[in-house]
Amino acid sequence: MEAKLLFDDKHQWYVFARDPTKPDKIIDTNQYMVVSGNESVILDPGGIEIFSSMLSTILKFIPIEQVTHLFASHQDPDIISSLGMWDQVIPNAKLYTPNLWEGFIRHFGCENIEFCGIEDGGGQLTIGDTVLQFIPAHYMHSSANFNVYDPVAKILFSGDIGAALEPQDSSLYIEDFDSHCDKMRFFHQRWMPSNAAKMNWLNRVRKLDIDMMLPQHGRIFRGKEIEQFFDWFEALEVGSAINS
Amino acid sequence: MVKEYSPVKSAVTASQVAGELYRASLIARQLSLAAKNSQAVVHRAGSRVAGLKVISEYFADLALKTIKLAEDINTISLDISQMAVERWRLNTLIGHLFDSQEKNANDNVEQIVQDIQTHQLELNNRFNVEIRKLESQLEEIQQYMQASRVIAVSFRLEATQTDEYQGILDDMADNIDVFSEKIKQHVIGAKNYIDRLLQS
Ligand SMILES: [Fe+2]
Ligand SMILES: [Fe+2]
Repeated sequence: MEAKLLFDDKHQWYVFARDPTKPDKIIDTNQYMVVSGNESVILDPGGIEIFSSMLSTILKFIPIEQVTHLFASHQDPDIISSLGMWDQVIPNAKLYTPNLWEGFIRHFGCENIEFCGIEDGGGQLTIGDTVLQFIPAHYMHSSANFNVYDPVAKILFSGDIGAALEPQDSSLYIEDFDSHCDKMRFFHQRWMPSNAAKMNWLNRVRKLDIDMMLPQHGRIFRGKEIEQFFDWFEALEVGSAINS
Repeated sequence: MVKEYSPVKSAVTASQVAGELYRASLIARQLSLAAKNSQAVVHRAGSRVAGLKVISEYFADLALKTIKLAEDINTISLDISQMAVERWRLNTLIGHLFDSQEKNANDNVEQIVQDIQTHQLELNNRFNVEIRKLESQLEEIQQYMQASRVIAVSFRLEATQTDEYQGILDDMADNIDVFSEKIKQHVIGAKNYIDRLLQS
């Protein structure tokens, strides 16, 4: 699994992605880790199939005792079906995830890890000296769903928003925005259900100062690509399946 | 009866070993760079440091072997970790099947249980073989590091006999010592993780 340091100051952001050992038919996912002092949080730790790659990759950078928090943006299996395994490996950790999904996410196994539900309005989490904000992104695509914003690093973890369906070996960064739109279009039209929710999300994130936007699938957005994405997304009609 | 180590601990241990060896391989790259520099110096100094020619070649070779071995160990540990996770999932499944048998015994399920147990046994045996292999490879890389300390000593000895190159050779010897020691510490760390698992 590829690992890259995305931000390195008093705290760090890492991306783990493009796992070559993952079975072909499961969707490729990007996992992120924020490390601050002796604490860290794994953002959308991923599915059970990539658990062993994730564990090994994380331990390249920090000891297991420092994996103190997990965050799951929503309940999907590609986000958090590995929970039952983390539950055994880091039994003292805390899981932050939408409160609404508690009864569902617990199906993946959560006997030791402390379940910390995030209320619909959002909230925040302090990792070491770093404060991360939970930005509501409900119905994007999941009915209870959060992004994570780091105002110091100016990074927005956007979960499934900004996702692209791409071959396994594609680059981590967008090279050409226009051609990248072709890889994002179907995903957003079909998985995102509501234009009203889309506008609500855009209104929230347009107020944020963002240098990098990190989706859970596909490529990382930098600089002006973020504004380009917002404009592209605003113009896109979503919820396409009702026409079929 | 072959010993069965906790799959949870095994997966974590193997990942920890992979992490240590990843860090060791990064330093091995620096070691290799030091080796290349030493070859360049020996080449420039020519007959004045004639005794070092063979040693610096040996050193370059050793550094490359160290990188390769560190990377190999890293790969094997990833395999071991994956194997442990598979064993873990099978254990969980077997537990659930036992529960189901307790509620309502069924011959078909009994057969499935037996098949899985055979597979578990295979996996466990393979795991035990691989972890021993890992141990001996860690041993080997430690021996490399001892050899590399000997090389540093030769550089220091030679340095006392030249004027012009004394500083460079001394620095080089220091570098070799520092890198070898760092790699050794990572290897010891990896061995400790394995020992803790094997004693559990
Ligand atoms: Fe999703
Ligand atoms: Fe997803």
